[in-house]
Amino acid sequence: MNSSDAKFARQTSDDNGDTLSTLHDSILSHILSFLPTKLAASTSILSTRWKHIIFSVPRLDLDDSFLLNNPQKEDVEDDEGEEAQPQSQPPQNFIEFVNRILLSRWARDSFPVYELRLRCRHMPRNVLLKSWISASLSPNIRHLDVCIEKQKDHTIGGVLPSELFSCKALEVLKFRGRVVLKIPKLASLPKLKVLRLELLILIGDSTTWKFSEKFPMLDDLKLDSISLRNFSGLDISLPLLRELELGLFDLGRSLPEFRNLTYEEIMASHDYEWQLLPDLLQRAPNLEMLVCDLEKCKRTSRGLEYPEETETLSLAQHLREVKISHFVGLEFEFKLVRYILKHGKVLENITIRASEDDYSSSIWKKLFKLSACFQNCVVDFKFEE
Amino acid sequence: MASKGNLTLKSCNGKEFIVEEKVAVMSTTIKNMVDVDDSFAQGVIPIIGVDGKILAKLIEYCKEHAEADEDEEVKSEEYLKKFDEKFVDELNLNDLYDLLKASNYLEITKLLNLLCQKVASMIKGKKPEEIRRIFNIKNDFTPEEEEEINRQNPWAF
Repeated sequence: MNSSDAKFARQTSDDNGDTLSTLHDSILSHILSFLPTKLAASTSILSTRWKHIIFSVPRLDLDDSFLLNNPQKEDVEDDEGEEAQPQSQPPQNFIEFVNRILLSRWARDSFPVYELRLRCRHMPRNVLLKSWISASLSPNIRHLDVCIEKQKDHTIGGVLPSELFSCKALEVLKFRGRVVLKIPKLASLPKLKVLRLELLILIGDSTTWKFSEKFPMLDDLKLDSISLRNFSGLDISLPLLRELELGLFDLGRSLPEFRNLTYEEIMASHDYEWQLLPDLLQRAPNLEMLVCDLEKCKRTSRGLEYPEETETLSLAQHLREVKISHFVGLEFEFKLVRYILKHGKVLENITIRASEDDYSSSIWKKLFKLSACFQNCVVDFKFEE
Repeated sequence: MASKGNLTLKSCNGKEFIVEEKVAVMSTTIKNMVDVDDSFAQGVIPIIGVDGKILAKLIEYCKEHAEADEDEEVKSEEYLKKFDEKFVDELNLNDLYDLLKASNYLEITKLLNLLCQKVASMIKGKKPEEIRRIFNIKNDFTPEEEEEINRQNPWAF
């Protein structure tokens, strides 16, 4: 107990009153919503007043690693351990706990969940995950964040309930896990600001999917390792988009459109994205600023083909600033700079950051020569901090 | 009577406070009252069940936050964080309860969150007996009931 808590303890022992327990249920459950749900649930032992408060806590944070407090049961980190348990799934005590906490909501329907964070190391059995998520869905839910940490690519964890799209208050939807989500024809989430999906299989309605119609308020989008089925195209033109992260995924026949994108950050976590870059720029005619982090991209420009001059109108229109970091002087990196300098007609500034080493002076010389050919733009060369 | 742009709040023990409207409407309850009935904006707004001492505390908190909302440069996020920390640290347990009730009734969401977080931090990492001692909670379970709960939640303790 720290000193300030001790001070509190002394004060109350003088008063002789258990005032905390006289507070309204809604305040007590609000207090518990600031604790991981496991800790919050442990308050049910305090007194009869506290026994049921856990079932009305609006914000749930369920994490199976946090519940593994029995070292004998804890499964081994490496893959050998997984082989010993062919049907890896969350520990049984965690499953029972989540069932108790979440399925009670379903039955009573009177204490909606506003926020659900669910972390599992392994995918729960199909029916389980679906029923947990269904139980937490209500018109009040604002934040849904589910993460299945370890997952073998081939296992599919079931189908998510399509009622997800009737939760009109949703502001944040994060889902990592190999599950199927079928998107109804008229689905829309008018308040959604953050959408981060990883590993999902999305099933469309064979039309081109316009993000701006489905999620007009979206400003943070991440799609990584997503499989798209039954989409004729994907249109990611979003007026408010601030952050975009695209990972390796099967886009189907057509690339996304970025008509209103004004700021874009590209993390080159996959080689694949660099093949997309020129195309991406084509499709973002309003782009004003481009940030490229080359850290994980140490390969050559294999397969990186830039479009012909006639096709590069978009770059000329608005792109004013480009920032490139972790520049190491590879051939394709110079190509990238050259390409941007050549086509960025209104480009004002390129900042290139590289680590300070033996090569930096030769890189700088080469860049200097390159920029001398294009006098419309200031090229800044800086060392990484 | 309060001048234009100011509101008069009256505590349950008759103390009156003249505050700027932007400060008072940090409370959704007061905001709704003023929006619906113009006479509140002219006259005195009774704050039922909140005494002068607690109302003064509430106003102190709302004033800092309303000013920060207006001008981020004068009152930065860091400044507010420090103010919040000091604000909750200086409270005794009874004031904490009274403020919890008042901020819940007046719907001052930021303050309610801050106070709930404070109580949560006092619960975190403690054994049930310690929590009972801090908050003076009487264990009114029969031994059988207690055993039953422990059996249901073997993971939790």
